Amino acid sequence: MDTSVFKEFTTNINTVDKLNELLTDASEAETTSFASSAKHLSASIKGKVSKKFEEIIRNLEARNELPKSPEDRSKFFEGLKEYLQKLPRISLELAFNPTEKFVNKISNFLKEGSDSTPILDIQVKPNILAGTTIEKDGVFKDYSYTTRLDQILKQKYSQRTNENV
Amino acid sequence: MFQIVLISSLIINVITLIILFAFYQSQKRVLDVSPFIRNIHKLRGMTAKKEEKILREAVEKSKSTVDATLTELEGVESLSEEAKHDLQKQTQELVQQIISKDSEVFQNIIKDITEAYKIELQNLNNLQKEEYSKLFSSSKALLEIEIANLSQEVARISTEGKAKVEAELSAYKQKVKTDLDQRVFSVLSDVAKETIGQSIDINKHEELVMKALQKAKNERFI
Repeated sequence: MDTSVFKEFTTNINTVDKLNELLTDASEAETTSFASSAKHLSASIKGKVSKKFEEIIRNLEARNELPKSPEDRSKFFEGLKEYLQKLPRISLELAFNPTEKFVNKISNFLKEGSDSTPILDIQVKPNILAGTTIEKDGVFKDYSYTTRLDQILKQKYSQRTNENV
Repeated sequence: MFQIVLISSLIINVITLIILFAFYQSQKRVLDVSPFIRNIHKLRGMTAKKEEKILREAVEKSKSTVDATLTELEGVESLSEEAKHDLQKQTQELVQQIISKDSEVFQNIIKDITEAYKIELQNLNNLQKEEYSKLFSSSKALLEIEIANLSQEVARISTEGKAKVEAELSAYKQKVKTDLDQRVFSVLSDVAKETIGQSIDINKHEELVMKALQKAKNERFI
């Protein structure tokens, strides 16, 4: 299946929360595809999905890029869900609650020089002090300041302890 | 440590008591002077008999002398009072002489007996001294060996106990120090994190995150 059409759905989808909303919309559209005999799916899903999703469907219908039969539409959305679930993900831990603007900044930074936009799974962990931890493809790296602070404290503390001995 | 010292002290006391009891038993055997006592009693008995015999002989002699004199006097009833007085005086002097003479003999015998006593007692004394000396030497040597052994044993136990206690103390001190270090470090870390965390504003936070991401990108991790 040509997945290029799916990229339109992922525009501005850069977090797990947004991805989950999109997956929910895709599931709703898939279900509606069977239940509705309406010519335009966008009309059937109106109010049931996000405006953004409805708008994308409407645009696909206008360009005749959305299958017309319920079965084919169902397969289309099934393919969309598979595509979304396979998007690269990066888990980040931040010490503060980031604004959407800052999340977008991170997303854009990660997108630079890359073919796809990674989906950010951001957890707020004040105990990391500052910086971030990153987990990608099962590999974890700590770029937070808590480890650095512990290292500095241990160094300073052991120095002082040794001086006192 | 206290228990080791207490046990060691008890061991020393028990061993000392055993040695003293052994010393007392051997001393009792060596100092059995009943034969000498019996000899002395025998000598005393002999002396008393001799003394009694001498006095009896003296009295008998004086008595027979006076009797003989009076017998002679019965033949001379007409003897004047002055002559009787002289005769009694002579008789008394004679008795006195006999008693004195017997007394001298008695004194000599007493002297001999006393010498015998002295010799016996001296022998006893020498024997006692010799036995005492032997006993004391052997006991002293035994005691010295026992005390030396005991001292070595106590020293060994004490050294081992001391080393063990020192090792345990050292390990305990190290554990306490490690625990304390860990607790102090933990508190220090928590306070530092809270203080530093609160002192970082949102712009600084964002800057530090971007720096971290840049580092990860430079490392080709993302």
